[in-house]
Amino acid sequence: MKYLLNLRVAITVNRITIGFFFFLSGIANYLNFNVANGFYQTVITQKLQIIGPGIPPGWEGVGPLPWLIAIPYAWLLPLAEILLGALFALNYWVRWTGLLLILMTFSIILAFGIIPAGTLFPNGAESFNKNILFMTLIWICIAYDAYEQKMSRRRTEAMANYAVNNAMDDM
Amino acid sequence: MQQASQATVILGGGFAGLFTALHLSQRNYSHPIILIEQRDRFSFKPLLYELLSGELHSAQVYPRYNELLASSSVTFVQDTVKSIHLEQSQVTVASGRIFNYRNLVLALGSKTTYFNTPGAAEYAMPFTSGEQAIALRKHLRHRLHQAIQTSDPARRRLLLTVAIIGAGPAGIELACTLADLLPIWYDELGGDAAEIRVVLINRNKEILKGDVNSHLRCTAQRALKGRIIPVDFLFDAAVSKIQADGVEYQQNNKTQILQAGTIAWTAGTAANPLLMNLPVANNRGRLLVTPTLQLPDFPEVFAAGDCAADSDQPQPPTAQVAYQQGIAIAQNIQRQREGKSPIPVEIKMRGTLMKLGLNEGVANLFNKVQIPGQPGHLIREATYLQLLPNAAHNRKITTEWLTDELFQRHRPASYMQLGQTPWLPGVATLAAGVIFATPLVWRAAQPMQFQQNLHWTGVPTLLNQLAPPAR
Ligand SMILES: Cc1cc2nc3c(=O)[nH]c(=O)nc-3n(C[C@H](O)[C@H](O)[C@H](O)COP(=O)(O)OP(=O)(O)OC[C@H]3O[C@@H](n4cnc5c(N)ncnc54)[C@H](O)[C@@H]3O)c2cc1C
Repeated sequence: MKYLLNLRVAITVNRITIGFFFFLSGIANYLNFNVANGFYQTVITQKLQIIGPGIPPGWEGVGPLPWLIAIPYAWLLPLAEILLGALFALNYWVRWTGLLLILMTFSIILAFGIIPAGTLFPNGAESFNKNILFMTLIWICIAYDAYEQKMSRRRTEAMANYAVNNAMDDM
Repeated sequence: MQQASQATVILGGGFAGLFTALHLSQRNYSHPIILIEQRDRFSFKPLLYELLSGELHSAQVYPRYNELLASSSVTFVQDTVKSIHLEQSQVTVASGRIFNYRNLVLALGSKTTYFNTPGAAEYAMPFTSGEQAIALRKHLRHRLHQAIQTSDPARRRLLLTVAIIGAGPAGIELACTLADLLPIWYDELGGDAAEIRVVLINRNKEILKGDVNSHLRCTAQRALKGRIIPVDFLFDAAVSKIQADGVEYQQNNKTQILQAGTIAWTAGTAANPLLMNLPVANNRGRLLVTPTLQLPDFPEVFAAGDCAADSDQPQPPTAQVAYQQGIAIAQNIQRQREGKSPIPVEIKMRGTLMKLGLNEGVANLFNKVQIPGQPGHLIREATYLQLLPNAAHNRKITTEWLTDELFQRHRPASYMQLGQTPWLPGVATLAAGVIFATPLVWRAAQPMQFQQNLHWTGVPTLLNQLAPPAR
């Protein structure tokens, strides 16, 4: 229990989980690169949209991206996912890798619709990734609560010690 | 007494004295070597910050002379030199013993001066030896413990304020170290790290004025502001008095007081008073020596380090100069005994190094290239560890330090606490990622060629199994 309610452990597990998912996603994108409706085709043809693919007519959005941007983007995005995912999981340059991962995720959200057909809102449809992330994020909140309590206990303890040690402790 | 008069007596076991003794011994010098030093341990001054912070421990940077000299032919005498009689070739120490010498090496360094500031000697903490570094660490720890137990915000603010007087290299390095270290220590006690305050007080507006490091000014200034808790500057402030819990200073013709629970003094050094009384020429207390490091009127007497200066080729008072002079003196003493004439000393300045926080530094190589950040820190630490006296000791410490760096043991703060990334593993991860991704990119770009060329490795088959079946 002590371990589970440790803020650093919770954050570490979160970081590793998220980093690892990006790392895997990068690998999967290269593996699925050329298949029909695979990664490459998606990037080359996908439009920037507010509402995800499938619904409703007239809401398909703008695009697709010009080839000059789309091709390097398609080739480099999985590499970026692998590298940034690994660095993030290993706690290296977390601020920067995290920022880039957020930007990347945001670009993907834009490409697939801000309000996708699979939907961001609870609608009974399962989304494995989303649930895993929810679990680890909730853990952060619990561990942080435990951390706050511990700190307030420590302060109280320190105050009590002071009364005992004050007289003899001064240098 | 015949035996004693053949002796080479070295006064002061700092960089200059200790390196003279060790190198004489390594040269199989056949005459007695006596090293007289008041302390029982050698302080590796450039790494005192690491001793304070716990990045390196006492055995590494504050070793006992007995251990350092164990496998040498040097006789170590722990005593304080009281007087030097150049005419009689005699030295007297506090215990009353008299040493006759054939060669004498003056390497007594310098001492802290408080410029007659009232209260400074009583309340300000100097930072020039291992003992003082440990004392400062204890004091700071004590202040943090007191602060965490104090509910009065004003009192807590006082306890958590550190005033560092003097913005020379030592003041800056100390400020950077404490501004990273104290927030972490206080956080570990359960305190609010944002309450820590580190204030650097300087007489004029410029930091590093007149120092060999002066061109690192911008880097240092940026580093001071970039710590976990940014260092506050109190410049153009002339300290007029030190009290138990505060520094009184004059700024813009007004007298003000900075309340501080810890006051560290790095503002000045003065000549060793023993040397001022010698019947030889000096320049502001530094004995004037020939290019061979001899006293002009007493060729059997050598002087080096912070207490000596060659007026033709003045060198800054640094460890880098002192240890090279020590080695050169050993060579010259031996030449003298062999009837050869001593040779002028050539000091090679390889640039300067500064610590700019935990795990951050700047290496200024040959005064041309500045390497800041973690690489600078690694260069600095590796360079100084190479300088640790006595090869066996040195190798052991360097290995320990390397394993510490790699496995991050003994660290006062983890990289995570500092919000930093170990540079080498970070770049290695990037490289590994690129290597890992290469076959994947190849497979995506030229599936057939990839299949054919790498078939024998089994990798294509493995990847095909992982990839979903074609739709
Ligand atoms: C905090 C700090 C950081 C520094 N950082 C760097 C750095 O990063 N790079 C660099 O190049 N330089 C640095 N220096 C400067 C460097 O340490 C000195 O220039 C160097 O130590 C000078 O060596 P020395 O042998 O002349 O004198 P010291 O090292 O001062 O040695 C003098 C010795 O003489 C002994 N002694 C004095 N009086 C007596 C007596 N009456 N009887 C017996 N023994 C006596 C003292 O105990 C001392 O051990 C730093 C100095 C300090 C204080």
